[in-house]
Amino acid sequence: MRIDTSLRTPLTKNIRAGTSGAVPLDDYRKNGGYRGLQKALTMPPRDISKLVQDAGLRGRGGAGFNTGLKWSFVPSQEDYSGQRYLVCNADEMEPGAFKDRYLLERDPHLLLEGMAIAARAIGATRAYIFLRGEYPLAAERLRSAIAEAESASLLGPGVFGGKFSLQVHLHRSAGNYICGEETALLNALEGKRAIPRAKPPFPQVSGLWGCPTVVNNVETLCNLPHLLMLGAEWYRSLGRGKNAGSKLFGVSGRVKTPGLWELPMGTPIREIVEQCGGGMQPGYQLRGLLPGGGSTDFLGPQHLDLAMDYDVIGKAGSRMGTGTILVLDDKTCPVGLVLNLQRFFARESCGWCTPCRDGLPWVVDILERIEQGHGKKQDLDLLQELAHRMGPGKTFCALAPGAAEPLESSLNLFLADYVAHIEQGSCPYAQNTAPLMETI
Amino acid sequence: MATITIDHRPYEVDDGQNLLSACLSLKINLPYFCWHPAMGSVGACRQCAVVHFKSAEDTRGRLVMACMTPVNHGDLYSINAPEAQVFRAGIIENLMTNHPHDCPVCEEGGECHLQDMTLMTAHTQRRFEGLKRTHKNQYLGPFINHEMNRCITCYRCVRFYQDYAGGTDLHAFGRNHQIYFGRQENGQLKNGFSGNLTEVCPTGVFTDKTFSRRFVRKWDLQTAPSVCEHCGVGCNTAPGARDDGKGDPRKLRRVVNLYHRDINGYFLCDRGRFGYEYTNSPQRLYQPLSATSEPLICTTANGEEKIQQPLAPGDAIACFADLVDEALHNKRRLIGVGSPRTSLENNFALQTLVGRENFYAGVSAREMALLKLSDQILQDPQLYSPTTPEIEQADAVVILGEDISNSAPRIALAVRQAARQVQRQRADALHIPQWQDASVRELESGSTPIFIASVEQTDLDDIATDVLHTAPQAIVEFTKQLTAQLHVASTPEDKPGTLEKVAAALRAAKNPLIVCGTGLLSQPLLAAAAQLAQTVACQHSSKRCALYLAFPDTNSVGLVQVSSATRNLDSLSQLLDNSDIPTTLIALETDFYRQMHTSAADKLLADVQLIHLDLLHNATARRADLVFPAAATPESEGTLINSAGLAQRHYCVYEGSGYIQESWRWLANVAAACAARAGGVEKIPQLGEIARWEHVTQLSDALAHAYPPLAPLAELGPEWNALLDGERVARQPHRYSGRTALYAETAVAEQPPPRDSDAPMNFSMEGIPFAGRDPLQTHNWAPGWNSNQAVHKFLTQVTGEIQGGSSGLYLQREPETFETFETFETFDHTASPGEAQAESDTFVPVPLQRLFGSGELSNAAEAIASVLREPVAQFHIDDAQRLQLNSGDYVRFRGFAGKFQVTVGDAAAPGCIGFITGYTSPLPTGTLPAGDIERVTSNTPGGSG
Amino acid sequence: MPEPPPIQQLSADEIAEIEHEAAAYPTRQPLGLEALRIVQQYRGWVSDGALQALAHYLKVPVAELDSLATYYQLIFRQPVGREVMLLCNSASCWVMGCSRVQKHIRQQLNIGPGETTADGIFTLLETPCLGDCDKAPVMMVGTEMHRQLDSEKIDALIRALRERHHSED
Ligand SMILES: Cc1cc2nc3c(=O)[nH]c(=O)nc-3n(C[C@H](O)[C@H](O)[C@H](O)COP(=O)(O)O)c2cc1C
Ligand code: SF4
Ligand code: FES
Repeated sequence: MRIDTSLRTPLTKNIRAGTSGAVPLDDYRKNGGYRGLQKALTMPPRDISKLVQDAGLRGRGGAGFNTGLKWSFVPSQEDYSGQRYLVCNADEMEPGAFKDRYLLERDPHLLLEGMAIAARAIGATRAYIFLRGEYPLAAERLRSAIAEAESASLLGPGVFGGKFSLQVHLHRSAGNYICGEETALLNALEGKRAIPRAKPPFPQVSGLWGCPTVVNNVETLCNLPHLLMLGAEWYRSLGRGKNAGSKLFGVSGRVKTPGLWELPMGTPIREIVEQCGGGMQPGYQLRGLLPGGGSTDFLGPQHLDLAMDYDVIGKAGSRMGTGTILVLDDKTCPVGLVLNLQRFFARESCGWCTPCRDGLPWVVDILERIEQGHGKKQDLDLLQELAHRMGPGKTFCALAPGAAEPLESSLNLFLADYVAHIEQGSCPYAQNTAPLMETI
Repeated sequence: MATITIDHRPYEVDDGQNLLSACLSLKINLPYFCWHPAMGSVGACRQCAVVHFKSAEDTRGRLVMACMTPVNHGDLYSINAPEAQVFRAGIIENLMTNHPHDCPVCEEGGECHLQDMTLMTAHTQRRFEGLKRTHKNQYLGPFINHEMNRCITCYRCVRFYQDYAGGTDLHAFGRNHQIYFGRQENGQLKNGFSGNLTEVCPTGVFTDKTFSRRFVRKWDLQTAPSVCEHCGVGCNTAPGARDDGKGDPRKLRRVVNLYHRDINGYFLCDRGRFGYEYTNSPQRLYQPLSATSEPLICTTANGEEKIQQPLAPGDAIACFADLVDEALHNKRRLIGVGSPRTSLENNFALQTLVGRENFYAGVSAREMALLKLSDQILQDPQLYSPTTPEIEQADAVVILGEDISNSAPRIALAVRQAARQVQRQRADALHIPQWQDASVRELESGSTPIFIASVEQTDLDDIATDVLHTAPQAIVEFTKQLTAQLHVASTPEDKPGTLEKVAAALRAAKNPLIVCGTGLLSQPLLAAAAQLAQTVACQHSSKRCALYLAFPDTNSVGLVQVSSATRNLDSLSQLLDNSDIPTTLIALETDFYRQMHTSAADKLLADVQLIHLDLLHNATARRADLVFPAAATPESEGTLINSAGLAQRHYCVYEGSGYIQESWRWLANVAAACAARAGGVEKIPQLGEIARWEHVTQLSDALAHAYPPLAPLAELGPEWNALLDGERVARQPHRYSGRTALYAETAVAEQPPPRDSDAPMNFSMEGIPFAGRDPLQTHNWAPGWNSNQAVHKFLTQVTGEIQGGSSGLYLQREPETFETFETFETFDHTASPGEAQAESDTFVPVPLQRLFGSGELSNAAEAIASVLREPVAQFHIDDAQRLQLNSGDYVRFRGFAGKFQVTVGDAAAPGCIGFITGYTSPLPTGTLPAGDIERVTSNTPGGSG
Repeated sequence: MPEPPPIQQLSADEIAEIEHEAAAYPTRQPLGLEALRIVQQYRGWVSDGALQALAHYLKVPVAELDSLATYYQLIFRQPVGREVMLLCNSASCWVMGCSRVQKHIRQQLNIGPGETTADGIFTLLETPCLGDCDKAPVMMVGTEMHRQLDSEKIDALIRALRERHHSED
């Protein structure tokens, strides 16, 4: 079969519009599936890492670290001959993120093939899919895909009848957002309380049960099959700007057609929101947006023409994160949205380190008072201070810094709204927004 | 060494350590919570933040957690940078959002690490306006109080309890700001080190319940360095006392850890911490008593017990002196019985009074033989008793028969750390620093080979790579086979058995450790263990092997040094059987009814006159004609020698109530009385020396002279009249309060404090409060450090030695290399465990050790007594089935007093019946025929029992 | 409240499933968490008795299991209704009106988050983002997703579930 280098949507090319099932193995293979793995099996592992590194594939879990480079920290076979592990992070729980679910439910073999390639590159013979508990459909489909692949010798002992073998196990998590943090995830997999681990040592050196371990996001892994087949140059050419590849971008909030699309890396925000998402619903104006989930900084309407790529969004003071955009409209209270996010983070804090465990409930307390019209001017300085106290490097993991991002940026972007709450003694959006949600 | 710069000043530090330890070692103040010197760093609390600069040009720097930052040569840091200061104050501010601010009613107040850190970071104002989260507290047993609302979630409690001490019933529950540290349900904390929670918790979540009952603030406690009197390990303690001014004789309020690098480090066991309450027990003797023949209308005395009445001390001394006079005139024989639970000085005074030939050790022949054998084994220069840090570094451990979790608990805690040796090696290989605790503990690695042979399940079984639960005889057999196996050139086998595995581990070990002791009362076992250790030593490159032998009592080793093997309670019984010279037995802190069977003790005491010096009104005291109230360890100064052969001095913390004084002082008083009658000390040269004794150091000097191994005693501790910078040391801290008000009810004028004639210390605030480099240092306080964390100010470095060097001096045993211990001449004993082979219809009685239950004095402590079980007889499940016994049944043994509750375990040794030592009588000797077992009540399942 | 199921013993099915998971891990440590999940699948929630039975079977301290159970939000240590409604209350759903949904449920069933209806059928819980943000507001009941919720959809859903349970009784 000829391989089509004009392919622009490698992540979703198998998924038929209008269907809702998973791509069956037959179709998947007919479409060139598992050829990337076959190719990878002919390459020395180091070359696979090199290829992925050269292609510029960056982690889609949110941090955007070069995937090939991450793999290269795994000790070489000469240095270490014991067990290694690959872990697929399918714990998607970031507020406003809805991309991994799609891949998991619709094209599980793409993920499995990607995992096999990654495992081959790092020398792992055991892999886990760490799936959040609230994705039962994905669980079912992954489980049957694994079984299919195993009976076709695409996974399990002797892949393609060769020496490489890979045992993939589906782990269904029992919850908590922090489990998505890669070191907390390792503890969860080991059956412990999912508290993050100190870095160094990095998981690539000492991860699961103290063995070298690579944790990769679902989408990251799904990029591998085609990358292997079509090469680094092709992969780079998929991106519009400096960042390589295609990416699942999504929009939620009050746009006409919220959804998820595979687009070139570097597609401008405006295109995603206005063309794909159809623009704002009638009667709503765009006030701001979270470019990549609840733990990224707010951007404003002035940022609409920025390209969605790690560097550009980073320069604008936010992060591309998961690439799923949440749009804030002019009828929704920004303070209310920030409060919603902070409640989430406060609840999901693992409780290990002080700034997060005790800082977030405090932030929530202040925001609740402001939202209810009992805020004070000094509260805004205090919020700044508390956000700063949760900044990068000050907490044990990236959860609290992630929580600080929307908080801090909202204090810049929506300062007038905060002030209005305080001066008016009530929420100016009260008639539009439903009352404060009840929480446990 | 590395040079680092902190706030523009250069410092020399050991590289590789973390910045927080480095700062504390340099005595630089830096706040922290989750870090602990013994447990390392986890970076949870974020309290220790400092600024790290990349280079001299870097002016902004980056906030880092000192406890998680390894120091490297050339590093630049700032503690005082405003960013760091603001952040640290912010962390406290966060922690305090939920704290109840209940310091006035909190037992931790005044020695609270959280208070200290709050001050240190200068957090003064509350800005949080929300509601505090609240928790329900739990009942955690009679020792520990729980007040979860004070928690700041530093995780130290679970890190100590689970990770360090191996406890399984204290956990973190919940998540986010709702985290709860407690048990799954109400109930006593099961781990034997639970008391350390009170010291490990930086605030008042876990506090000492026994202390709370008679609570005073730390600054109102009078303290002096002491040594734990509850087992042979010899942990250093800092008991705290206070007189309530209202005549309550119970002065001792609590015991806390006193750092000694080589023994207890930062931790004590629960027997040591809570056992102190015996000093306040209702059984405590405060005045001399004498037996009376006057008829009383009613009496609680029964059997051979005497009716006793208080006697003025002068009269009691006179009575005693009369008897000594008779002896001086050869009309009476004086026999002294010494004790392993009191100081060398007390024993020596008695020995001097009665003469060496009349001095008998207050232990059975069987125990004496064990003690002598153990002592002799340790004379072998190839064998050495390891320090706690050395035990923690062991990389192959063989524990033979001794249940150290119950007989030498602090040593068991050290062995538990050794279990992680392989993991630590793996961390080294991965360049993970040892102090990075969580990361090291996450490493999956093989376990350190630890082999345990025991007669029942032990608390260390969870860290053992192999266990053998069997009869003493089989343990001896195994030990011998192991020794033999070591001589066999290693044959690579596919599936090595336990024997081969253990032998291979010992052969491969850099720091092999053998642990044994007298607990099983088995000489063959001790001999076999010594033989094994010798063999390991021969094969080791250093030609040495660590052998820890656990001795039962706080001064067993001391008593052995001054006693003859042949003068013990059994030979004394024989002697008294065969003579009709009128005899006075002077029992020094010995309860015959604990050392002998009731009938034997009754027989021994039948025809003698008994003078008893002791702490508690025990069975022996109740039979005595004359009883003297003796000072307990924390009420006196003296020397004890621990199992490792370290001579340590305990100092008087407070003067005992009533007429309590040191046993040697009573004896000196008696000698002085005799001398006065005789017309001067020179008239009775044999007693002259005693009569002149005024200071305990005179006795130690005399001991050093009299016994070559005890020579170091002359160098031990300061002379009574020594001065430190021209002053004595204050027992009361500089903030001691109420000294004028305390006795205002009885006298307006301030009473002069008692004068200490044994140590250069005052029972007052006068003098040096912080002896610093001196062994007399107990006040863990430094400016800004009211909590026990202040200890780092007195150490050369964190986890290092006390600045003046660790206290204590090792015994100078005659070095003697033994070919074999097999031939050691032992007392003729019948069927000690390890010898008798159980036949199908007979059982070997084996002693079982219990943390709470096997300690003579601690059993009289109120809280401990409340958790003591009834005496039990433990059977192997097969034996129980054969005898048709169920757990909960009660049995008696013919010829052996008492009723026992049956317990059945599959980890109990078959063919054995286990008895908890220390409840009352010693173990039955010989074997127990099945026919002698009589069921009293049954507890068949479903039946009412 | 539903009666706590008979406890103290693990069923053969539960044990088989736990042991099936065991094959996936090099140590038995992860089984605690897996077992809690499995037991809950069978019993709806993890009672003290079930916890004890698990601890006994796995030979781990009960406190260790409870420490896990209370950490993970999908393990229920209190009885729940037969239908557990996981209402997403994260950002996108909030923007799209999940508070109105919550209010409506309160009106219809008189329960708030963490509460169970008196008939023991419904329990309402709040849940982190369900990853279906483009169809907000969403709720998961059992294994079913319910999307773009409004009052009518909720009413229909409640009606259907109620009927199902009433006809089962
Ligand atoms: C609080 C927190 C939650 C996270 N959740 C997820 C998640 O659900 N899925 C994910 O892939 N990455 C998540 N991450 C990022 C992971 O830690 C990690 O960076 C990622 O899985 C690495 O994969 P990648 O290199 O392929 O992006 C989370 C990080 C943090 C701090
Ligand atoms: S920032 Fe701290 S408390 Fe928050 S989730 Fe991370 S480790 Fe846990
Ligand atoms: S002491 Fe450093 S973070 Fe707690």
